[in-house]
Amino acid sequence: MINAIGAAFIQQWKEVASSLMNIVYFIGAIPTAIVLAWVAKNSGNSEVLTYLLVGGPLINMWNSVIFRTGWSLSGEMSGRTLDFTLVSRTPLMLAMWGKSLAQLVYGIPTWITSLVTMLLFIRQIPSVADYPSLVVSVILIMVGLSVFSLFMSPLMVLVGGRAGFFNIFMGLGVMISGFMFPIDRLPYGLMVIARLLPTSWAMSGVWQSITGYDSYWSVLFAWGACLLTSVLILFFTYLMFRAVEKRIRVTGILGRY
Amino acid sequence: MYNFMVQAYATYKGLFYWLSWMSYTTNIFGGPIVAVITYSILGQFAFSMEAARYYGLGIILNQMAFVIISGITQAYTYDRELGTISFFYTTPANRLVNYLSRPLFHLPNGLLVFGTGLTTLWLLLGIDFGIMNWPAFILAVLIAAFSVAAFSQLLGIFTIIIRDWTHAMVVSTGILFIFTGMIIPVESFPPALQGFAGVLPITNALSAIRSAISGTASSAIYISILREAIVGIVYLTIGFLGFVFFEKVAKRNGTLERDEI
Repeated sequence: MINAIGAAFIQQWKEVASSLMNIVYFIGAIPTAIVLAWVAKNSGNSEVLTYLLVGGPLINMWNSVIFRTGWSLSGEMSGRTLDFTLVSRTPLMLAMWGKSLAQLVYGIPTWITSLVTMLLFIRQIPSVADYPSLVVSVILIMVGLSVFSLFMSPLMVLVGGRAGFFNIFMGLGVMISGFMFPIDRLPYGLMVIARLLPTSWAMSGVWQSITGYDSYWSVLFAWGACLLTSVLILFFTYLMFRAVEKRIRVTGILGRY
Repeated sequence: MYNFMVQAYATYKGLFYWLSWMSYTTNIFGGPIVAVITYSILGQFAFSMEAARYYGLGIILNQMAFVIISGITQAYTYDRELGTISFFYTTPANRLVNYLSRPLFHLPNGLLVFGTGLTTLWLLLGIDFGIMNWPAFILAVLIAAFSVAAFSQLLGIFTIIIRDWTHAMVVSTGILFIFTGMIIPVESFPPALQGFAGVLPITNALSAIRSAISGTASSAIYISILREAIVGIVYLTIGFLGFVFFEKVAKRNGTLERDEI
């Protein structure tokens, strides 16, 4: 299992790291970072400043990882390399997970670019009430991001997504993950939808670690909910991968249907 | 006129890849709704209700620019990638007619995005349409769409050369996002950067739209609208010169490949 994920990781890593096209994700991170840094700095509120400093860089990371992982299964199909995955003993979802992890790691420079840009503009030390819980929350955001990006991969194939289709998921994900504001600011209906995303729970942990909390249980609850929603999304992702595989095998045409 | 319409339709239908119902509805309607909600709440979170309206209106223009720039520049790139531009170069077709026909059907998309965004902002935060200076408002929105389209035409020439529209789109929309007053007020920049902002599309139109919504007298607004129109005409002219120049260079070198050029 580890070998399969590792091999898929390396294959995907070599593919993305060799493409000059991906430089657009680094460049694209800078304007949003500058604008959010301006908002954070001028808000005059240290909690808002810190929250945007944590959430802002995650926006670009979210966009690049969701976009690239989301297209990965479609890319495998059009590139005719999915055929080999299907005839191998490795479960399709496992191979794609390795790829999504590679995309996540490749998204880290985008995150760093954005964070450094924001820090250069803000020139202030962010105030955090509890650093350890902030670190755990950020790690859980990465877990949530990895899981959700994998979810997008079979979804893209099953709904027959076309060019431009991903833009809405990038924007919607940023909004309901709470990267720009705590999600209790959202209208109630959207807040309910947001709670289906593990990243929204992890960002609740971020907010609590910045503002401080009365009971450790409230942070633990947010982390637990993040992990639970991650497991649920993984389960649905598994079902969708099975549906994709079934459709391909039923039609008898490997690479496309 | 017939040729103009045929070329406008052909480039739009054949070279705009977001025309599937799924991509079209998500980008024209879904995207602006999500963006307006997101940035309005950001304004409320960081500042006040007034900031929420300011950001909401700014992000509508951002979405409009995104859709128009993406549509026009991808059409240029695919024209190059699919090889159809080579056929165009062999015909005696009027270059100006072809050039002007390309953005025609992308303009309504931009206006639809604006309408969707404004409706969302009104439902979310409320806008007092009673005090609005409607003639100036409508004119400013139309001129904004025109100047963004003109700017996209200029970018389109670069996307033929580099054969990639996403870089051009990301860089250009990023610059517009920072400097045109969508979120950061133009007055907060140093004078040199304010001058730079003034020659970008959207800056003057957005200022006019904000003034029109608050009911400012027309004479002050029309100067901003006139500036925006001039900016648009300049981009359109430079873009056309680049369009013709690229054809000449390609024909002189006998290839479209930039390595050869």
